[in-house]
Amino acid sequence: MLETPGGQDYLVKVENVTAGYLSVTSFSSLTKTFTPVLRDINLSLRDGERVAVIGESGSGKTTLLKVILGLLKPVKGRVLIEGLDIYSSRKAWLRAVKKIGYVPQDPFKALDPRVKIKTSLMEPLETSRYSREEVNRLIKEAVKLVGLPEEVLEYYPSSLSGGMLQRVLIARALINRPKLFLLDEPTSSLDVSTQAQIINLINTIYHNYKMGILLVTHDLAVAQYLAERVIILREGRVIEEGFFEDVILNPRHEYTRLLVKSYMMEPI
Amino acid sequence: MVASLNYLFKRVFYSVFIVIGIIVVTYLLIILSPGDPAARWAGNPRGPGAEKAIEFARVELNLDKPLYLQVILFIYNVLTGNLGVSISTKTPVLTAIWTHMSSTLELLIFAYIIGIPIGVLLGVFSSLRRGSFKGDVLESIGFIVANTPSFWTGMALFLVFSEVLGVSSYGRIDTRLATIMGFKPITGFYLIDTLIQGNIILFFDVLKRLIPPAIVVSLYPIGTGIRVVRVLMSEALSEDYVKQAIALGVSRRTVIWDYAFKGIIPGLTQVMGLSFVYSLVDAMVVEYVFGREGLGSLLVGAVVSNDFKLAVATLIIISSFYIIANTITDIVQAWIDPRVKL
Amino acid sequence: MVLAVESKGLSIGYLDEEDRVLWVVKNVDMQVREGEIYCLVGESGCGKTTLGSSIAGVLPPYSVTRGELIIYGRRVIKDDLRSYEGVRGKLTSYIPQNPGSSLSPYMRIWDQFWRVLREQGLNEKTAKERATAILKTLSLGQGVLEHYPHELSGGMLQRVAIGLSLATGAKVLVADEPTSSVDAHLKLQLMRLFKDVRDNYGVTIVLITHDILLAGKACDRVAVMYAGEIVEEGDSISVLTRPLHPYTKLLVDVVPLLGFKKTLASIPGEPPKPGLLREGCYFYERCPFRDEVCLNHVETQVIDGRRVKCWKPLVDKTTS
Repeated sequence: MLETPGGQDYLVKVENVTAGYLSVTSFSSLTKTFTPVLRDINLSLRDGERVAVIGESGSGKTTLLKVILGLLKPVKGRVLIEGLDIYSSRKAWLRAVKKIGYVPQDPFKALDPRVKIKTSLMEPLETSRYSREEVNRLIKEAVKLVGLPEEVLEYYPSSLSGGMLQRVLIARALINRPKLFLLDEPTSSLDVSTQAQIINLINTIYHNYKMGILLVTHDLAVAQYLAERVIILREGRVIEEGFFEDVILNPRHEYTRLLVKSYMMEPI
Repeated sequence: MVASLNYLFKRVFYSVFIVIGIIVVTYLLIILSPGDPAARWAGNPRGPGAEKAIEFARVELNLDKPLYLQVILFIYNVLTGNLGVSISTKTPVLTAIWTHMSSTLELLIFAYIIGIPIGVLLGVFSSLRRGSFKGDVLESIGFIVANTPSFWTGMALFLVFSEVLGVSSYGRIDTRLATIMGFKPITGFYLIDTLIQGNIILFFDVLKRLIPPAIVVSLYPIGTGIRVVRVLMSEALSEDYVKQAIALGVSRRTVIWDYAFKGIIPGLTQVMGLSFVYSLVDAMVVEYVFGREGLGSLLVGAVVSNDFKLAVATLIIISSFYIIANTITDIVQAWIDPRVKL
Repeated sequence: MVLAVESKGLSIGYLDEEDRVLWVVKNVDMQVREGEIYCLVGESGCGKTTLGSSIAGVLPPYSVTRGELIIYGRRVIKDDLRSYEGVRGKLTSYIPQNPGSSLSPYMRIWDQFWRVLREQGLNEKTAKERATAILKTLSLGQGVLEHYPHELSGGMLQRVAIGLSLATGAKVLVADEPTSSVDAHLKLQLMRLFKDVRDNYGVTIVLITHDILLAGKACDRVAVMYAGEIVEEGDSISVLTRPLHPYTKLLVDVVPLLGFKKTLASIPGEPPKPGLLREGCYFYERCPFRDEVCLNHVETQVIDGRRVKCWKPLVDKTTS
């Protein structure tokens, strides 16, 4: 297990990461070519900091999440969670993963449709040594935290609306009291009115628990409500980063400028 | 699925390997079966010169060589067309096979030329009437037709034609007439050969003997066609691009054929390819009923008379048929779909 | 002022397993003026897609309808009777949400244009010229005609889909959520394209979207839908800057805007699913201004040329 001096300042540190996929291109299947999706990515986040990664389709944001979650080993660079290189050993990965609460995209597909909500919520607690009573208590607390009635525990995912499912996913991500809250497009599949509820919910939770938040989305406006810093990803590279106000008022890149403009209220 | 020219090569390459595999397995099966092939080849001799004759036969059949060498020699012989001489017909195996196979193929192809259009048209018709009486009736008819045993249908039709219509549909051609008129098979496909030789009388004779068995063989592709096309078309008609074509005011007929039907061609080709292979066996049975000298009678005759070389060769041909038909179907499918790069 | 599309008391629904009617569009009076870009805005389940489909003539056959829908003076829906002959693909056309799957993968783009243009009695040569001309106004070269759909990018496919609907010669184009799968910085471009199309061809465009800000920016008039009803209809800028219906106001407030770091208002509860009709206001449960009267009494009022379905709309309450 590698622990870097100084690396512990950061909750998450992505250092010079290049990652991508292999594909077969020729007849003999002997040669595979590597297609890089992310190039030389550097990203860091401290305890309690909130950062948004803005990327549109093809930007590599899904791949970035996979890399941080320990699901895709980069061909170059490393990923440190609280100083631990998560790709150095399986043990390191297991230790790191316990500190992350992950909310996946598409609430409608993220839960096992065959089990009740309470079972899905118990999943992250399986490896820890809580007693039955403690587990039940934690589940009830989690559900309350996200503003859902206790009855919801007995329901199946198919009976819940998108907004409720999203809350369940947030509850599940928080149940282990993670230090890093990782959100993948948390509001994209929701109606505007529900979106606002979820944004408010996340902010309330943040104000109470002050965990680190890393948010990946294409929606710049939503991101601004949820984070202080922003990183703009385009075609696998970081093209801009900084505090929201700075990036919006003084964009350095033409792409950023266009992006910001599309959120402005001028008629066409 | 995106592929390249590689797919074609790969596909053919693998098929060749499979065919060789079939050859090896067939050979081993025959060799390792009980009895002494050398003795059979020598004609089961008795008496003084018997041992010598059997020994001679053994050498001739390469049975004295180590097994792996036998296999390699055999593969080589098969691939170069040297299949030996058939004892029962006293002709080279290759010729014997070809004469019989051309009969079966002629029947199959003719049956499919009738069967596929009828099956497809009825299938489309049925799919447009989903849930209606006519559509469901057709579907049931298709099921019955596809599953009725063909030897029964064959015999029934044979009787109908000969007793009721007074038409003899036995065999491939009127052999007396053929000999008198000096008919010589060239390609082996009598329909074509009679036309090449300008013999209209014989042409119609061949045709009248071909139609009844062809009707029987075509029942399977018709029945299958109705059912498969019905299912595929129903799916295709609910595709987004079909709905959009309707929204854009494209005429109903164009929507059915150019949008929906075009979409089912790959799947349909696959099913028809498999059906063709099934029909090979079907055709062999039907030919027996109608007294045509096809692969069915050839194989049976060879096995019964212990005609070692002929039996082996026929087995190999029939097995390879499946592989080849499959490969061709796959390649045709890939070729038709513009999304697969060839 | 010619009305391209008009509806009177239009309701659309479908039958559930117990043969009851679940209404998706409820008693809608709508007026789309010729040559304008008219937006149907609302959240999921509000009925905008169904209403748009009814204009384009692509309602599923098992739909149930009541009331009237009139396109350029032709009645296409009269209670349970629907007749789109001569309208679908001729007066109206449809641009689907997912352009990729709306094109046949087995035919070249030209072949697909030809089959549409053929219906107008054009010969092949003229048709090709027309197709090329249409593509040109959409910034696509003639070469596109020779390709298959899978060889083109998403953006090009979208323009091809628009081109095909223009090729029908239709006067009303219904575009279903055209920007939902488009990257943010390209949304404006696409909307500008629609505007150009309207200016060049003089067509009327009915745009279906859930993005109220887009509606405000890109459309002339807007109809805000909730639970199958049009709760407010009027000039887009005024509807967005001075909403009269409580739902419209909340909808505008609830959208996160760049640069305005206020706490986000939110509407409690969820938008309703299609169902049974009721006498009173459908927004009652979630409306912050509700009153007992709202349960039984809903009026459509006309204020400043805008129609609002609320008996006490938010007049004198200015919002930004």
